[in-house]
Amino acid sequence: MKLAFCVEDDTDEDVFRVLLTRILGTEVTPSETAYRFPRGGWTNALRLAPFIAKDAYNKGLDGALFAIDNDGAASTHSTAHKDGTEGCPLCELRAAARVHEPLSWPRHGLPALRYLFAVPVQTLETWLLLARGYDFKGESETLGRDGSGRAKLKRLLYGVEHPDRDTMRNAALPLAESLDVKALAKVSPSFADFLTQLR
Amino acid sequence: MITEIEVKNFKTLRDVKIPLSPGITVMVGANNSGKSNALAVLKLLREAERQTPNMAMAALGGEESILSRDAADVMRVSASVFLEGYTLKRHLTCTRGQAMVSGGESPGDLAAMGDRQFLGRLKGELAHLINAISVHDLSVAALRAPAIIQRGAVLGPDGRDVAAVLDNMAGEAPSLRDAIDETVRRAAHEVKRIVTRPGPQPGTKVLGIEERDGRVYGAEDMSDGLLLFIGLAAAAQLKADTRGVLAIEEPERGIHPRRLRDLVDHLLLLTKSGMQVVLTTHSPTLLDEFRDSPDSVLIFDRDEQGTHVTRLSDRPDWAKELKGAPLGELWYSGVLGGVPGR
Repeated sequence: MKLAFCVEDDTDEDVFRVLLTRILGTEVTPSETAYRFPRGGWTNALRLAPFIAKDAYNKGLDGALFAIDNDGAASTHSTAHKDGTEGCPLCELRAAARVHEPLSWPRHGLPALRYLFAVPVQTLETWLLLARGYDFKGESETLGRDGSGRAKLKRLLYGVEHPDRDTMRNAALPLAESLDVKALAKVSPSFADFLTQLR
Repeated sequence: MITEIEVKNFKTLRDVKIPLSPGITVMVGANNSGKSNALAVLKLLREAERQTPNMAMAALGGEESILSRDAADVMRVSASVFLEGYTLKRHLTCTRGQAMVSGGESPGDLAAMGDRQFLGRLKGELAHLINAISVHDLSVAALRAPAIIQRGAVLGPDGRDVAAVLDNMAGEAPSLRDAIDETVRRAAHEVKRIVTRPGPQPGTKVLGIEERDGRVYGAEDMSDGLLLFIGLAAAAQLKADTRGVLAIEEPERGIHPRRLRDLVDHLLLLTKSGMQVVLTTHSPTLLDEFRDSPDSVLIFDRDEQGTHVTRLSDRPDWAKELKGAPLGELWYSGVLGGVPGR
Protein backbone atom coordinates (compact mmCIF):
# COMPACT_ATOMS: atom_id res chain seq x y z
CA MET A 1 0.00 0.00 0.00
CA LYS A 2 1.51 3.29 -1.06
CA LEU A 3 0.45 6.36 0.88
CA ALA A 4 1.06 10.07 0.87
CA PHE A 5 2.17 10.99 4.36
CA CYS A 6 1.21 14.61 4.88
CA VAL A 7 3.05 15.40 8.06
CA GLU A 8 5.30 18.09 9.47
CA ASP A 9 8.42 16.05 9.97
CA ASP A 10 10.33 13.08 8.58
CA THR A 11 10.16 11.33 11.94
CA ASP A 12 6.37 11.61 12.03
CA GLU A 13 6.23 9.90 8.65
CA ASP A 14 8.47 7.09 9.88
CA VAL A 15 6.33 6.52 12.96
CA PHE A 16 3.02 6.58 11.09
CA ARG A 17 4.38 4.28 8.39
CA VAL A 18 5.43 1.72 11.01
CA LEU A 19 2.16 2.15 12.91
CA LEU A 20 0.07 1.60 9.79
CA THR A 21 2.10 -1.38 8.69
CA ARG A 22 1.53 -2.91 12.10
CA ILE A 23 -2.17 -2.10 12.28
CA LEU A 24 -3.06 -3.02 8.72
CA GLY A 25 -0.85 -6.09 8.58
CA THR A 26 0.48 -5.10 5.17
CA GLU A 27 3.61 -3.28 4.13
CA VAL A 28 2.94 0.43 3.88
CA THR A 29 5.37 2.46 1.79
CA PRO A 30 5.55 6.22 1.40
CA SER A 31 4.97 7.97 -1.92
CA GLU A 32 7.99 9.04 -3.98
CA THR A 33 7.15 12.63 -3.12
CA ALA A 34 7.77 13.42 0.52
CA TYR A 35 4.80 15.66 1.33
CA ARG A 36 5.29 18.02 4.21
CA PHE A 37 3.24 20.66 5.94
CA PRO A 38 5.36 23.73 6.65
CA ARG A 39 5.99 24.31 10.33
CA GLY A 40 3.30 26.66 11.43
CA GLY A 41 0.46 24.50 12.53
CA TRP A 42 -3.14 24.43 11.58
CA THR A 43 -3.46 27.30 9.20
CA ASN A 44 -0.86 25.84 6.86
CA ALA A 45 -2.21 22.33 7.14
CA LEU A 46 -5.79 23.38 6.41
CA ARG A 47 -4.70 25.41 3.39
CA LEU A 48 -2.54 22.69 1.88
CA ALA A 49 -4.54 19.56 2.66
CA PRO A 50 -6.85 19.82 -0.37
CA PHE A 51 -3.96 20.31 -2.78
CA ILE A 52 -2.03 17.37 -1.39
CA ALA A 53 -5.16 15.23 -1.54
CA LYS A 54 -5.60 16.02 -5.20
CA ASP A 55 -1.95 15.35 -5.93
CA ALA A 56 -2.21 11.97 -4.18
CA TYR A 57 -5.27 11.23 -6.30
CA ASN A 58 -3.56 12.30 -9.52
CA LYS A 59 -0.52 10.19 -8.74
CA GLY A 60 -2.61 7.07 -8.22
CA LEU A 61 -1.60 6.53 -4.63
CA ASP A 62 -3.65 4.21 -2.46
CA GLY A 63 -4.34 6.84 0.12
CA ALA A 64 -3.26 9.89 2.00
CA LEU A 65 -2.62 10.25 5.67
CA PHE A 66 -2.93 13.72 7.14
CA ALA A 67 -1.41 14.02 10.55
CA ILE A 68 -0.62 16.99 12.66
CA ASP A 69 -0.11 17.33 16.36
CA ASN A 70 -2.96 18.93 18.21
CA ASP A 71 -0.55 21.14 20.10
CA GLY A 72 -2.33 23.44 22.44
CA ALA A 73 -5.88 22.78 21.32
CA ALA A 74 -8.37 22.21 24.06
CA SER A 75 -11.08 20.24 22.39
CA THR A 76 -10.86 16.61 21.44
CA HIS A 77 -12.63 14.81 18.69
CA SER A 78 -15.81 12.92 19.29
CA THR A 79 -17.26 10.30 16.99
CA ALA A 80 -20.53 12.20 17.33
CA HIS A 81 -19.02 15.14 15.49
CA LYS A 82 -20.12 15.80 11.99
CA ASP A 83 -17.41 16.64 9.51
CA GLY A 84 -16.47 20.26 9.79
CA THR A 85 -17.45 20.65 13.43
CA GLU A 86 -16.05 24.03 14.23
CA GLY A 87 -13.27 24.06 16.78
CA CYS A 88 -12.48 20.36 16.41
CA PRO A 89 -9.09 20.09 14.71
CA LEU A 90 -9.71 16.61 13.35
CA CYS A 91 -13.04 17.60 11.82
CA GLU A 92 -11.58 20.76 10.35
CA LEU A 93 -8.67 18.87 8.80
CA ARG A 94 -11.05 16.30 7.37
CA ALA A 95 -13.24 18.98 5.91
CA ALA A 96 -10.28 20.80 4.41
CA ALA A 97 -8.80 17.72 2.77
CA ARG A 98 -12.15 16.71 1.39
CA VAL A 99 -13.07 20.08 0.07
CA HIS A 100 -12.72 18.91 -3.53
CA GLU A 101 -13.81 15.35 -2.77
CA PRO A 102 -11.21 13.53 -4.86
CA LEU A 103 -11.85 10.52 -2.65
CA SER A 104 -15.11 9.94 -4.42
CA TRP A 105 -13.71 10.39 -7.91
CA PRO A 106 -13.41 7.19 -9.93
CA ARG A 107 -9.97 6.00 -10.87
CA HIS A 108 -9.39 3.59 -13.71
CA GLY A 109 -8.21 0.31 -12.29
CA LEU A 110 -7.85 1.69 -8.81
CA PRO A 111 -10.12 1.80 -5.80
CA ALA A 112 -11.12 5.20 -4.49
CA LEU A 113 -8.44 7.16 -2.72
CA ARG A 114 -8.32 6.20 0.92
CA TYR A 115 -8.13 8.98 3.45
CA LEU A 116 -6.72 8.73 6.93
CA PHE A 117 -6.56 11.46 9.51
CA ALA A 118 -4.65 11.64 12.73
CA VAL A 119 -4.56 14.40 15.26
CA PRO A 120 -2.80 13.00 18.30
CA VAL A 121 -3.87 14.65 21.52
CA GLN A 122 -1.76 16.40 22.48
CA THR A 123 1.15 15.15 20.39
CA LEU A 124 2.38 11.97 18.82
CA GLU A 125 4.65 11.64 21.84
CA THR A 126 1.57 11.09 24.00
CA TRP A 127 0.55 8.04 21.97
CA LEU A 128 4.03 6.57 22.18
CA LEU A 129 4.35 7.22 25.90
CA LEU A 130 0.98 5.59 26.50
CA ALA A 131 2.16 2.66 24.40
CA ARG A 132 5.23 2.42 26.59
CA GLY A 133 2.95 2.20 29.60
CA TYR A 134 3.56 5.63 31.00
CA ASP A 135 0.91 6.58 33.50
CA PHE A 136 -0.23 10.14 32.79
CA LYS A 137 -2.59 10.03 35.76
CA GLY A 138 -5.37 11.52 33.64
CA GLU A 139 -3.16 14.14 32.06
CA SER A 140 -2.77 12.51 28.67
CA GLU A 141 -5.48 14.63 27.06
CA THR A 142 -4.21 17.86 28.51
CA LEU A 143 -0.47 17.61 28.96
CA GLY A 144 1.13 19.41 26.06
CA ARG A 145 -1.38 22.19 25.69
CA ASP A 146 1.35 24.63 26.52
CA GLY A 147 5.04 24.81 25.72
CA SER A 148 6.19 23.49 29.08
CA GLY A 149 3.88 20.47 28.78
CA ARG A 150 5.21 19.67 25.32
CA ALA A 151 8.76 19.99 26.60
CA LYS A 152 7.88 17.55 29.36
CA LEU A 153 6.51 15.06 26.82
CA LYS A 154 9.76 15.23 24.89
CA ARG A 155 11.84 14.79 28.02
CA LEU A 156 9.79 11.77 29.00
CA LEU A 157 10.03 10.07 25.62
CA TYR A 158 13.42 11.10 24.30
CA GLY A 159 15.24 12.09 27.46
CA VAL A 160 15.87 15.63 26.20
CA GLU A 161 13.71 18.62 25.32
CA HIS A 162 15.27 19.17 21.90
CA PRO A 163 16.02 15.76 20.42
CA ASP A 164 17.68 15.37 17.04
CA ARG A 165 15.96 13.14 14.52
CA ASP A 166 18.12 10.10 15.16
CA THR A 167 17.29 10.27 18.85
CA MET A 168 13.61 10.59 17.97
CA ARG A 169 13.68 7.64 15.58
CA ASN A 170 15.64 5.46 17.99
CA ALA A 171 13.10 6.10 20.74
CA ALA A 172 9.90 6.12 18.67
CA LEU A 173 10.27 3.38 16.08
CA PRO A 174 10.75 0.43 18.46
CA LEU A 175 7.64 1.57 20.34
CA ALA A 176 5.64 1.83 17.13
CA GLU A 177 6.86 -1.55 15.93
CA SER A 178 5.81 -3.34 19.10
CA LEU A 179 2.66 -1.36 19.74
CA ASP A 180 -0.30 -3.10 21.39
CA VAL A 181 -2.99 -1.56 19.20
CA LYS A 182 -5.98 -2.52 21.29
CA ALA A 183 -4.42 -1.45 24.56
CA LEU A 184 -3.50 1.96 23.18
CA ALA A 185 -6.98 2.46 21.73
CA LYS A 186 -8.41 1.87 25.21
CA VAL A 187 -6.38 4.59 26.84
CA SER A 188 -6.23 7.13 24.01
CA PRO A 189 -9.48 8.41 22.46
CA SER A 190 -7.57 10.10 19.64
CA PHE A 191 -5.80 6.84 18.77
CA ALA A 192 -9.09 4.96 19.00
CA ASP A 193 -10.57 7.40 16.53
CA PHE A 194 -7.60 6.94 14.23
CA LEU A 195 -8.12 3.21 14.42
CA THR A 196 -11.77 3.41 13.37
CA GLN A 197 -10.66 4.84 10.03
CA LEU A 198 -8.47 1.85 9.34
CA ARG A 199 -10.83 -0.99 9.95
CA MET B 1 15.66 38.63 -25.23
CA ILE B 2 16.74 35.05 -24.58
CA THR B 3 13.56 33.01 -24.82
CA GLU B 4 14.87 29.51 -24.28
CA ILE B 5 18.00 27.55 -23.66
CA GLU B 6 18.13 23.97 -24.79
CA VAL B 7 20.79 21.86 -23.14
CA LYS B 8 22.06 18.37 -23.78
CA ASN B 9 24.68 16.56 -21.74
CA PHE B 10 25.84 19.47 -19.61
CA LYS B 11 26.45 18.05 -16.13
CA THR B 12 23.01 16.95 -14.85
CA LEU B 13 21.22 18.80 -17.66
CA ARG B 14 21.13 15.87 -20.04
CA ASP B 15 18.18 16.90 -22.13
CA VAL B 16 16.26 19.93 -20.95
CA LYS B 17 14.64 23.06 -22.26
CA ILE B 18 14.84 26.07 -19.99
CA PRO B 19 12.32 28.75 -20.96
CA LEU B 20 13.19 32.25 -19.80
CA SER B 21 10.59 34.92 -19.14
CA PRO B 22 10.83 38.44 -20.52
CA GLY B 23 10.98 39.72 -16.94
CA ILE B 24 12.04 37.59 -13.99
CA THR B 25 12.51 33.84 -14.12
CA VAL B 26 12.71 32.10 -10.77
CA MET B 27 14.10 28.58 -10.42
CA VAL B 28 13.18 26.37 -7.46
CA GLY B 29 14.26 22.86 -6.66
CA ALA B 30 16.02 20.73 -4.12
CA ASN B 31 19.73 21.13 -3.49
CA ASN B 32 21.76 19.61 -6.30
CA SER B 33 18.76 19.48 -8.63
CA GLY B 34 20.49 21.41 -11.43
CA LYS B 35 19.57 25.07 -10.84
CA SER B 36 23.17 26.17 -10.52
CA ASN B 37 24.03 24.13 -13.60
CA ALA B 38 21.45 26.17 -15.50
CA LEU B 39 23.24 29.34 -14.43
CA ALA B 40 26.56 27.75 -15.40
CA VAL B 41 25.16 27.26 -18.90
CA LEU B 42 24.54 31.00 -19.07
CA LYS B 43 28.14 31.59 -17.99
CA LEU B 44 29.41 29.15 -20.61
CA LEU B 45 27.47 30.89 -23.37
CA ARG B 46 28.92 34.23 -22.30
CA GLU B 47 32.47 32.93 -22.01
CA ALA B 48 32.24 31.32 -25.43
CA GLU B 49 31.28 34.73 -26.78
CA ARG B 50 34.26 36.39 -25.12
CA GLN B 51 36.97 33.80 -25.84
CA THR B 52 37.46 30.58 -27.76
CA PRO B 53 35.00 27.78 -27.00
CA ASN B 54 37.79 25.60 -25.61
CA MET B 55 38.91 28.40 -23.31
CA ALA B 56 35.30 28.92 -22.25
CA MET B 57 35.04 25.24 -21.38
CA ALA B 58 38.28 25.46 -19.44
CA ALA B 59 37.01 28.53 -17.56
CA LEU B 60 34.11 26.46 -16.26
CA GLY B 61 36.24 23.58 -15.08
CA GLY B 62 37.01 21.75 -18.30
CA GLU B 63 35.15 19.03 -20.08
CA GLU B 64 35.59 16.52 -17.25
CA SER B 65 33.57 18.84 -15.05
CA ILE B 66 31.09 19.96 -17.66
CA LEU B 67 30.16 16.94 -19.73
CA SER B 68 27.54 14.60 -18.33
CA ARG B 69 29.52 11.82 -16.74
CA ASP B 70 28.20 8.92 -18.73
CA ALA B 71 27.38 10.79 -21.90
CA ALA B 72 29.14 9.62 -25.01
CA ASP B 73 27.10 12.06 -27.07
CA VAL B 74 27.99 15.62 -27.81
CA MET B 75 27.24 18.37 -25.33
CA ARG B 76 25.07 20.99 -26.95
CA VAL B 77 23.77 24.29 -25.71
CA SER B 78 21.37 26.25 -27.91
CA ALA B 79 20.14 29.67 -26.92
CA SER B 80 17.11 31.02 -28.75
CA VAL B 81 17.16 34.78 -28.87
CA PHE B 82 14.26 36.93 -30.02
CA LEU B 83 15.39 40.13 -31.67
CA GLU B 84 13.33 42.57 -33.69
CA GLY B 85 10.73 40.02 -34.63
CA TYR B 86 13.15 37.22 -35.46
CA THR B 87 14.40 34.25 -33.49
CA LEU B 88 18.11 33.66 -33.80
CA LYS B 89 20.08 30.81 -32.32
CA ARG B 90 23.48 30.51 -30.77
CA HIS B 91 24.81 26.97 -30.54
CA LEU B 92 27.73 25.72 -28.54
CA THR B 93 28.76 22.13 -29.04
CA CYS B 94 31.49 20.11 -27.43
CA THR B 95 32.69 16.60 -27.92
CA ARG B 96 35.54 15.31 -25.83
CA GLY B 97 38.55 17.27 -26.95
CA GLN B 98 36.85 19.86 -29.10
CA ALA B 99 34.36 22.66 -28.59
CA MET B 100 32.88 24.97 -31.16
CA VAL B 101 30.38 27.79 -31.43
CA SER B 102 27.97 28.13 -34.30
CA GLY B 103 24.74 29.86 -35.08
CA GLY B 104 23.62 33.39 -35.20
CA GLU B 105 22.16 32.31 -38.48
CA SER B 106 19.05 33.94 -39.74
CA PRO B 107 15.68 32.39 -40.19
CA GLY B 108 14.92 31.40 -43.74
CA ASP B 109 12.71 34.34 -44.62
CA LEU B 110 15.28 36.83 -43.48
CA ALA B 111 18.01 35.16 -45.50
CA ALA B 112 15.70 35.21 -48.50
CA MET B 113 15.28 38.92 -48.13
CA GLY B 114 18.98 39.18 -48.63
CA ASP B 115 19.24 42.14 -46.28
CA ARG B 116 22.82 41.59 -45.24
CA GLN B 117 23.06 44.84 -43.36
CA PHE B 118 20.04 44.05 -41.21
CA LEU B 119 21.24 40.52 -40.68
CA GLY B 120 24.67 41.78 -39.65
CA ARG B 121 23.11 44.13 -37.14
CA LEU B 122 21.00 41.35 -35.67
CA LYS B 123 24.06 39.15 -35.32
CA GLY B 124 25.85 41.98 -33.60
CA GLU B 125 22.96 42.42 -31.19
CA LEU B 126 22.93 38.69 -30.52
CA ALA B 127 26.62 38.72 -29.66
CA HIS B 128 26.14 41.81 -27.50
CA LEU B 129 23.23 40.27 -25.63
CA ILE B 130 25.06 37.05 -24.84
CA ASN B 131 28.22 38.93 -23.94
CA ALA B 132 26.20 40.96 -21.44
CA ILE B 133 25.11 37.97 -19.36
CA SER B 134 26.05 38.39 -15.68
CA VAL B 135 25.88 35.56 -13.18
CA HIS B 136 26.33 36.36 -9.50
CA ASP B 137 26.74 34.16 -6.48
CA LEU B 138 27.48 36.86 -3.92
CA SER B 139 29.68 36.19 -0.94
CA VAL B 140 29.95 38.28 2.20
CA ALA B 141 33.73 37.81 2.34
CA ALA B 142 34.15 39.10 -1.22
CA LEU B 143 31.87 42.09 -0.60
CA ARG B 144 33.80 42.94 2.54
CA ALA B 145 37.22 42.60 0.91
CA PRO B 146 39.27 45.70 -0.02
CA ALA B 147 39.23 46.52 -3.73
CA ILE B 148 42.06 48.00 -5.76
CA ILE B 149 40.87 51.27 -7.21
CA GLN B 150 41.27 51.22 -10.95
CA ARG B 151 39.37 52.43 -13.96
CA GLY B 152 37.26 49.78 -15.56
CA ALA B 153 36.84 47.78 -12.35
CA VAL B 154 34.23 45.09 -12.82
CA LEU B 155 31.92 43.61 -10.21
CA GLY B 156 33.05 40.03 -9.66
CA PRO B 157 30.61 37.13 -9.74
CA ASP B 158 30.92 36.94 -5.96
CA GLY B 159 30.69 40.71 -5.46
CA ARG B 160 34.44 41.25 -5.32
CA ASP B 161 35.59 44.79 -6.15
CA VAL B 162 32.20 46.30 -5.33
CA ALA B 163 33.94 49.20 -3.59
CA ALA B 164 35.99 49.98 -6.71
CA VAL B 165 32.93 49.75 -8.94
CA LEU B 166 30.89 52.08 -6.71
CA ASP B 167 33.82 54.46 -6.36
CA ASN B 168 34.14 54.74 -10.14
CA MET B 169 30.41 55.07 -10.51
CA ALA B 170 30.32 58.08 -8.20
CA GLY B 171 32.40 59.99 -10.72
CA GLU B 172 31.32 58.47 -14.00
CA ALA B 173 27.66 57.64 -13.50
CA PRO B 174 26.39 59.42 -10.39
CA SER B 175 22.75 58.78 -11.27
CA LEU B 176 23.34 55.00 -11.16
CA ARG B 177 25.10 55.39 -7.87
CA ASP B 178 22.20 57.46 -6.51
CA ALA B 179 19.78 54.76 -7.66
CA ILE B 180 21.72 52.15 -5.69
CA ASP B 181 21.63 54.38 -2.61
CA GLU B 182 17.91 54.80 -3.04
CA THR B 183 17.33 51.05 -3.39
CA VAL B 184 19.34 50.32 -0.26
CA ARG B 185 17.63 53.15 1.66
CA ARG B 186 14.25 51.69 0.84
CA ALA B 187 15.23 48.38 2.40
CA ALA B 188 17.28 49.79 5.28
CA HIS B 189 15.81 53.08 6.42
CA GLU B 190 18.68 53.86 8.73
CA VAL B 191 21.09 54.12 5.81
CA LYS B 192 21.71 57.57 4.34
CA ARG B 193 24.12 56.53 1.62
CA ILE B 194 26.75 54.03 0.64
CA VAL B 195 30.32 55.24 0.96
CA THR B 196 33.71 53.90 0.02
CA ARG B 197 36.53 54.31 2.51
CA PRO B 198 40.30 53.93 2.24
CA GLY B 199 41.28 50.30 2.59
CA PRO B 200 44.15 48.80 4.56
CA GLN B 201 46.59 49.06 1.67
CA PRO B 202 47.33 52.18 -0.38
CA GLY B 203 45.20 52.33 -3.50
CA THR B 204 42.45 50.17 -2.06
CA LYS B 205 39.00 50.97 -0.79
CA VAL B 206 36.38 49.16 1.20
CA LEU B 207 32.63 49.46 1.25
CA GLY B 208 30.94 51.43 3.99
CA ILE B 209 27.68 53.15 4.86
CA GLU B 210 26.76 56.46 6.35
CA GLU B 211 23.72 56.29 8.54
CA ARG B 212 21.13 59.03 8.97
CA ASP B 213 22.67 60.11 12.25
CA GLY B 214 25.96 60.79 10.46
CA ARG B 215 27.82 57.78 11.76
CA VAL B 216 29.92 55.94 9.22
CA TYR B 217 30.59 52.22 9.35
CA GLY B 218 33.09 50.21 7.36
CA ALA B 219 32.34 46.87 5.75
CA GLU B 220 33.81 45.03 8.72
CA ASP B 221 31.10 46.53 10.96
CA MET B 222 28.20 46.11 8.55
CA SER B 223 25.77 43.22 8.81
CA ASP B 224 26.08 40.38 6.33
CA GLY B 225 22.55 41.01 5.14
CA LEU B 226 23.16 44.68 4.39
CA LEU B 227 26.36 43.83 2.52
CA LEU B 228 24.53 41.28 0.44
CA PHE B 229 21.69 43.68 -0.26
CA ILE B 230 24.16 46.33 -1.44
CA GLY B 231 25.82 43.70 -3.63
CA LEU B 232 22.46 42.79 -5.15
CA ALA B 233 21.49 46.41 -5.69
CA ALA B 234 24.83 47.14 -7.37
CA ALA B 235 24.66 44.05 -9.58
CA ALA B 236 21.13 44.93 -10.64
CA GLN B 237 21.80 48.62 -11.24
CA LEU B 238 24.84 47.83 -13.38
CA LYS B 239 22.48 46.07 -15.76
CA ALA B 240 19.92 48.87 -15.79
CA ASP B 241 19.03 50.09 -19.25
CA THR B 242 20.62 47.05 -20.85
CA ARG B 243 18.97 44.11 -22.49
CA GLY B 244 21.30 41.61 -20.90
CA VAL B 245 20.57 38.80 -18.50
CA LEU B 246 21.27 39.18 -14.80
CA ALA B 247 21.33 35.83 -12.97
CA ILE B 248 21.60 35.68 -9.19
CA GLU B 249 22.03 32.62 -7.00
CA GLU B 250 19.76 32.63 -3.95
CA PRO B 251 19.28 36.37 -3.52
CA GLU B 252 17.36 35.75 -0.29
CA ARG B 253 20.54 34.91 1.64
CA GLY B 254 20.92 37.16 4.66
CA ILE B 255 17.90 39.24 3.77
CA HIS B 256 14.83 39.62 5.96
CA PRO B 257 11.79 38.02 4.26
CA ARG B 258 9.90 41.31 4.31
CA ARG B 259 12.74 42.97 2.41
CA LEU B 260 12.52 40.44 -0.40
CA ARG B 261 9.50 42.32 -1.71
CA ASP B 262 11.67 45.43 -2.10
CA LEU B 263 14.22 43.40 -3.98
CA VAL B 264 11.68 41.90 -6.35
CA ASP B 265 10.07 45.32 -6.89
CA HIS B 266 13.45 46.77 -7.78
CA LEU B 267 14.29 43.97 -10.18
CA LEU B 268 10.87 44.22 -11.81
CA LEU B 269 11.42 47.91 -12.37
CA LEU B 270 14.72 47.23 -14.07
CA THR B 271 13.22 44.57 -16.33
CA LYS B 272 10.98 47.23 -17.88
CA SER B 273 13.99 48.45 -19.84
CA GLY B 274 14.50 45.00 -21.33
CA MET B 275 16.80 43.41 -18.78
CA GLN B 276 16.03 39.77 -17.98
CA VAL B 277 16.53 38.44 -14.48
CA VAL B 278 17.06 34.81 -13.53
CA LEU B 279 16.96 33.87 -9.85
CA THR B 280 17.47 30.61 -8.03
CA THR B 281 15.85 30.34 -4.64
CA HIS B 282 15.05 28.11 -1.72
CA SER B 283 12.76 30.69 -0.17
CA PRO B 284 9.00 30.06 -0.12
CA THR B 285 8.60 33.75 0.73
CA LEU B 286 10.43 34.83 -2.42
CA LEU B 287 8.48 32.30 -4.46
CA ASP B 288 5.22 33.73 -3.15
CA GLU B 289 6.04 36.94 -5.00
CA PHE B 290 5.47 35.02 -8.25
CA ARG B 291 2.12 33.46 -7.47
CA ASP B 292 0.48 35.46 -10.25
CA SER B 293 3.27 34.78 -12.76
CA PRO B 294 3.33 31.01 -13.29
CA ASP B 295 5.20 31.55 -16.57
CA SER B 296 8.09 32.83 -14.50
CA VAL B 297 8.47 29.83 -12.22
CA LEU B 298 10.62 26.87 -13.21
CA ILE B 299 10.63 23.76 -11.05
CA PHE B 300 13.78 21.64 -11.09
CA ASP B 301 13.64 17.95 -10.26
CA ARG B 302 16.37 15.41 -10.59
CA ASP B 303 16.31 11.64 -10.95
CA GLU B 304 18.61 9.03 -12.45
CA GLN B 305 17.89 10.46 -15.91
CA GLY B 306 19.19 13.84 -14.84
CA THR B 307 17.47 17.16 -14.29
CA HIS B 308 13.91 17.83 -15.40
CA VAL B 309 12.58 21.36 -15.73
CA THR B 310 8.87 22.14 -15.59
CA ARG B 311 7.37 25.57 -16.01
CA LEU B 312 4.62 26.06 -13.45
CA SER B 313 2.17 27.33 -16.05
CA ASP B 314 2.77 24.17 -18.12
CA ARG B 315 1.54 21.88 -15.36
CA PRO B 316 -1.81 20.49 -16.45
CA ASP B 317 -3.25 21.00 -12.97
CA TRP B 318 -2.09 24.60 -12.52
CA ALA B 319 -4.95 26.50 -14.10
CA LYS B 320 -7.74 24.32 -12.76
CA GLU B 321 -6.60 22.95 -9.46
CA LEU B 322 -3.67 24.88 -8.08
CA LYS B 323 -4.23 28.44 -9.17
CA GLY B 324 -4.67 30.76 -6.23
CA ALA B 325 -2.94 28.40 -3.85
CA PRO B 326 -0.24 29.73 -1.55
CA LEU B 327 2.66 29.13 -3.92
CA GLY B 328 5.54 29.03 -1.45
CA GLU B 329 3.74 26.65 0.88
CA LEU B 330 2.54 24.54 -2.01
CA TRP B 331 6.13 24.12 -3.21
CA TYR B 332 7.29 23.30 0.32
CA SER B 333 4.55 20.69 0.67
CA GLY B 334 5.88 18.70 -2.29
CA VAL B 335 2.80 19.04 -4.49
CA LEU B 336 4.72 21.00 -7.12
CA GLY B 337 7.83 18.82 -7.00
CA GLY B 338 11.22 20.45 -6.59
CA VAL B 339 11.68 19.15 -3.06
CA PRO B 340 14.33 16.85 -1.57
CA GLY B 341 13.89 13.26 -2.66
CA ARG B 342 14.05 10.14 -0.52
